[in-house]
Amino acid sequence: MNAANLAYLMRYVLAGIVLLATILLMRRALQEFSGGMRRSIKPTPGYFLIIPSRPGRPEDHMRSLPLFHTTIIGRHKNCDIRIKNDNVGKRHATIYLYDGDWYIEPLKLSHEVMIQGVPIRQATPLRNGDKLTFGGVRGITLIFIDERESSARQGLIYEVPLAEYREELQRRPVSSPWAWLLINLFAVCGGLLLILQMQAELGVMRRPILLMLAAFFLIINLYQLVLPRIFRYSDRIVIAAVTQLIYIGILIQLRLTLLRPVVMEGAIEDHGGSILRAMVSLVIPQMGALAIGLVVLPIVMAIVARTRFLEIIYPACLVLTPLLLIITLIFGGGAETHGATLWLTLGNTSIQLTEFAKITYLIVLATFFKNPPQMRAQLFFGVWAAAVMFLIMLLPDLGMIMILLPVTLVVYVVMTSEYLTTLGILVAGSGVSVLAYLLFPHVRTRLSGWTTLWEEVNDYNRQIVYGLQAMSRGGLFGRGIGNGSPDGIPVVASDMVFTVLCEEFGLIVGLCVVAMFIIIWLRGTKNMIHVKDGFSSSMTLAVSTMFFFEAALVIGGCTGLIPLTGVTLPFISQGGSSLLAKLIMVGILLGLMARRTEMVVKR
Amino acid sequence: MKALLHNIRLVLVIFILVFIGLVAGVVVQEKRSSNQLLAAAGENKQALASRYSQAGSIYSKDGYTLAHSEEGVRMYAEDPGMAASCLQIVGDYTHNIANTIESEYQGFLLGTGRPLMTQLQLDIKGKGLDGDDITLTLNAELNQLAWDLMGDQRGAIVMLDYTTGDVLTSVSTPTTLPENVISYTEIPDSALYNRAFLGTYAPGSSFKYITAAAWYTAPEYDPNLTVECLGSTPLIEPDGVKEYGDSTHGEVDLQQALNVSCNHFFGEIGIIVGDKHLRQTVLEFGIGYPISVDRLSVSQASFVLPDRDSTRSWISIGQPVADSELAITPLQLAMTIGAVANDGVMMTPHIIDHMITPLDTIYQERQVRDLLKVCDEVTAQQLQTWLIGSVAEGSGNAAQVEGYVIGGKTGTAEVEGQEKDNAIFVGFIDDPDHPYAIAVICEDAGFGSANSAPIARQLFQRAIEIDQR
Repeated sequence: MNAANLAYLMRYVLAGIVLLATILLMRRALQEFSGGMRRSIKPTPGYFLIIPSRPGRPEDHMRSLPLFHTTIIGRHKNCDIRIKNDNVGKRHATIYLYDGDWYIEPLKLSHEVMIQGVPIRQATPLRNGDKLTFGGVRGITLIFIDERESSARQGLIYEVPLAEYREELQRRPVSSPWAWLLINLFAVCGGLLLILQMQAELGVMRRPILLMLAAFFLIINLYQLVLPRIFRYSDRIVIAAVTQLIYIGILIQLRLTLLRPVVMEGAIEDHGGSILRAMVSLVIPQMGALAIGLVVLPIVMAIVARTRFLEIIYPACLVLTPLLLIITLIFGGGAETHGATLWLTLGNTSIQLTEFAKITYLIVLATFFKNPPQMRAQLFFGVWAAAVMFLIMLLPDLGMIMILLPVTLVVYVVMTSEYLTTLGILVAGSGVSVLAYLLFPHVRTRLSGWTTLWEEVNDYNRQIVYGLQAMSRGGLFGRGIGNGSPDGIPVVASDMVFTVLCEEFGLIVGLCVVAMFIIIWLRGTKNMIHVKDGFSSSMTLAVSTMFFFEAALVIGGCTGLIPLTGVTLPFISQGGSSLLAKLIMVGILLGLMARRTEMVVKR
Repeated sequence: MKALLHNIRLVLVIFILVFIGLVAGVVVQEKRSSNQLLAAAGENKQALASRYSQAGSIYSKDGYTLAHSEEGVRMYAEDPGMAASCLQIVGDYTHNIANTIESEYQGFLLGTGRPLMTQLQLDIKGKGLDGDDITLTLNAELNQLAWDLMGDQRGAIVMLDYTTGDVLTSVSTPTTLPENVISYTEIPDSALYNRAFLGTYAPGSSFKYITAAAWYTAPEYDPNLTVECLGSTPLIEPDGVKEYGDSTHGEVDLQQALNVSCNHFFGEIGIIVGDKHLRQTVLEFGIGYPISVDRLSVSQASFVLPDRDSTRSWISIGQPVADSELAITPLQLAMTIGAVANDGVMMTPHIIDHMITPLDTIYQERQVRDLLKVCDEVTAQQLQTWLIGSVAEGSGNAAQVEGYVIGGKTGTAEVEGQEKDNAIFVGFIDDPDHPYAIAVICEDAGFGSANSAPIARQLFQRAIEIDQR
C-alpha cells in the first residue's frame, strides 16, 4: 500500500475524527447556551441603587436595586430597572461600568437626569451616595451605593457575599477532553500522512518538517493545558475549536506547497536547485506567522485579561485605523496581481496592514457601543466609520467592507436595540450596493462571472467553477491528503482554500469547519453576558462575529452562493498577516472572556 | 442587561439561520456541481493531469496497452504508430479530444462514483485510488495496419465483427501522437476529429446494394430486367446521370450492372420502385437510426428523399443532389454491409469488451445483442450473392482475398469543392470463422475500386492471418 492509498483509506478516519470532535464541541456550546442564560446573569457585587425613604414608607429604604455592568433604566419592559413614571423615558438612562468606574448617561439629550440636583447631559462618573434623579422634579430619585467605599469610610473591608456566587465559583469551566483528544489525533494522523505523501526527492526535508509540526503540536497542546489554568474563565471550547482550525490550516497550507510538484519544482529552480532554500521560501511566510502568532497569543491574552490596555489604546485606534489604510493606499502594492493595493513591502516580507486595521476598527466599534450611546455619539461614530469605509473603497477592498459592515450592524443592534435604524441601514446598504453595481464596472464583471457560473467558464468565474469541480471530486469523505488536484484553480491557497479542504478532507470536514466558526461565535456570545463590563461584552461580540462573517463570506463565495470577494478563511487561508491578526484576535477574545466579575472583586 | 439578553436571542436566531443556510447551500452547490458543472463547463485541464495519475489502463483485445499510468504519468501506446492509429478512440487525459474512452469513461478509469461499500473494500486493500481497467474490442495490430495503409490519405476505416458487433478497427486520418494533443501543438488540421464515428459521407455507388434490396423486395421486381445503358446520354432531368468516362455499358442486368456499377440501371430501378418503397427500405437498413457505440456517440445518418423521380434516381446511386440528403458515417456503412452478411441482422456495435476492477473482478462484459432486422434472410442472401459477384468479377475485384469468399461494393462519391472524388469500399468476408465487415473511405482520392478496395483486401488478409495464429 503506497502513501496515496493510505491517505485515501485514512480519509474516513480523519473525517470521522473531525465530525466527532465538532459534534462534541457543538453539544457543549449549545448546552451552555440554552442552559439558562438569564439565570446566569449575576449583578455586580457591591454596587446597587437604593430607593430613598419617603415619609411614611420606611420599608422602601430596605429595597436595593442590583446593578449589572450595563443597566438600563426606563419605562420599557426590557429595562433592567423599570420606573413607572410618565416623566421617565422608555429607555431613559444607562448606568454602566467601564474601565473599573461607574458612569451614568442619559440615553437621549431630552431625558432629564440629575446628580445631586445638577442636570447632566453626558456620561458622568458616579460616586458613593450620589442622588440620581430621573425625569425632573416630578420624577424619581435613587441613590447610588458603592459598598466598598462606604465600608472603607467606616473603616471596614468589603467582602463579596460569596454565598451568592458560590454556585458560580464552584462550577467547573466547560471543557471537552474527548474533543481535545480527537483533535490531537487528527493532528498526528494528518501530519504523518502529509510527511509520507512527500515525494522521494524531498526526502531530506521530511525530518525538519516533522520537527516543525511536532513543535507546533507541543506548543498548541501546552496552551490547551496551561492557559485555562492561569485564566480560569478563558474558554476551553474556543481554544479547542481554534486549535482544530489551525491544524487543518497547517496541513492544507503545507500540502499546497510541499505536495504540489508544480510549485516545488518552480521554487527549486528559483533557488538554484537548493531544495532546502526552496522549501524555506515556501513554508516560512505562513509557518513563521503562525509561530509568531502562537507566541503573541498568550501575551495578548494576558494583557487583555489583566490590564486596561484595550481601553487605553482606544483613542490611538481612532487615529490608527484610517492611518493604516492611508499608509496602505499610498505605499501599498499588489494591484497588478490581486486587483487591490493591499500589500506593503518591507525588505523581502510583505505585510497586509488592512488585517490589523480590522482589529483597531473593532476596538473603536466596541468602545463606542460599550453601552447604548447617545444619538450624538452614534452620529460621530457614523461619520468616522463612513470615512474609514471610504478609504477602504479607495483601496478597493470590497471584502473588508463586506465584513466590517455586518459586524458593525450586529454590534450596533445588540448594544442599542435600535431595530428600526438597523433596518434602515440595511435598506440603505442594499441601495448603495445597487449603486455600486451601476457605477463600478469591476463590480459588474464580478457579478456577471457569478451569474454565469453554471453556463460557461470565463475569466471571472473560473476559480469558482474549478473550485466547485474540486469539491464535487472530493465528495463526502474527500480524496485524502495529497490526493486532490488543486492545480489550475486560481488563488487556490487563499480565497479558494475551502474547496481544496473539501476535495481532500471531504464535505464533512468542510461543514465541520463552518460549524467550528459558529461554535466560536456561540461561546463568544455566551461569554458576553459574563464578562465584567459593557466594553468587554461588545468587544467579545465584535471579534467572534467577525470570525463567523469572514468565514461565511469566503465559504459562500467560493461555493458560488454569493459573489466572491477576496477574503481569507480565518486560520486556514494563506497569508501571514491575516493569520497573525487572527491569532491576535483570538488572544483578545480569550483575554476578554477571562475578564470576569471576579476581577472586580479582587481589586 | 435584559435588553442585551433579548437582542442576543434575536441575533442568535439570525445566526443560526445563516449557519443553516450556509451549510445547506454548500451541500446543494456540491451536489449541483457534481451533476452539472463537469458537463456544462470545461474541465480544469491542469487538475486532469494529476487526476489521471492513478487511472486505470486501456487495453486492446489483442493484449496491447493503449494507455496506462505509471509513477503519476499517463502514457499511451508504446509504438507511435499504434498510439496514433488509436488516438481518436482512446483519446487523451486532457480531453482535448471529445467523445473518447478517456473522456466518456473517466469515472471508471479514475474509479470515482463507486458504491460506498465497494470503495471501502478497495480502500482497505490499499487500492482505493486505483481506477478500473478497460479492455476494448479493438485489435491494435489491425488498427495500426489500417493506419499504415491509409498513409497520408485523409479518411476513415471501420472494420467490425458482424456476428457480434465488436469494432475491431477504427481509424481516422489525419491523426497525430497523443503527446501533441496533450501539449496542443503540431496538430494537423482536423486530426482531433473522429471521422469513423462522427464524419458522414455520401456513400456513392456503395449504396447501390440497398437500392438493389429495394428492387428485390418491390412488387415490381423482375429478375430478368435489363436496361440499355446509354452512357453519356442524360437519363433524367435536370442534369442526368452520366457514366464515368462517358462510356456505355450496353444491355445490362442487375448483376452486370452491379459489377460495372452502372448508374443508368440503378437510376432506372430507383424510379420504378417509387419513393415510398425506396424510403422504407433505406430506413429499414437503419439509415437515420440513432446509433451509439457503448458510451461513444456516433453521428446520425442524414437521409432526405423528396418525392421526385429525378432526385430519386440520384439517391438510388448514392449521390445526393439538390435538396435531397444522404450522408452516412463509416461505422454505419460497415454495420449495414455487415447486416447483409449476417443474413439481415444488424448487431449492436461495441467498443468496450469488458472492464476490470483493481481487485481483478471483470464486469460490464460485452453483450451480443441484435440492433435491427434490416431485411429478411432471403433478401440478405440474394444481396450477398450479388455483392460477392461484384467482388469476384466486378469493380470490387481489388478486395478479393485468395481462397476466401468476399462480398462488397465500391463507391466513388462526388464532393463539392474537392478536386477528386471520395473513394469508398464496403465489404465483408462470407465466412463464419472470419465474420468481418469493413468500410474504407479515402477522401479526395479518386475511384473506390483503385484506392479503397485494395486497403480492404490487406486488412481482410491480416485479420484472417491473426485468426489462424
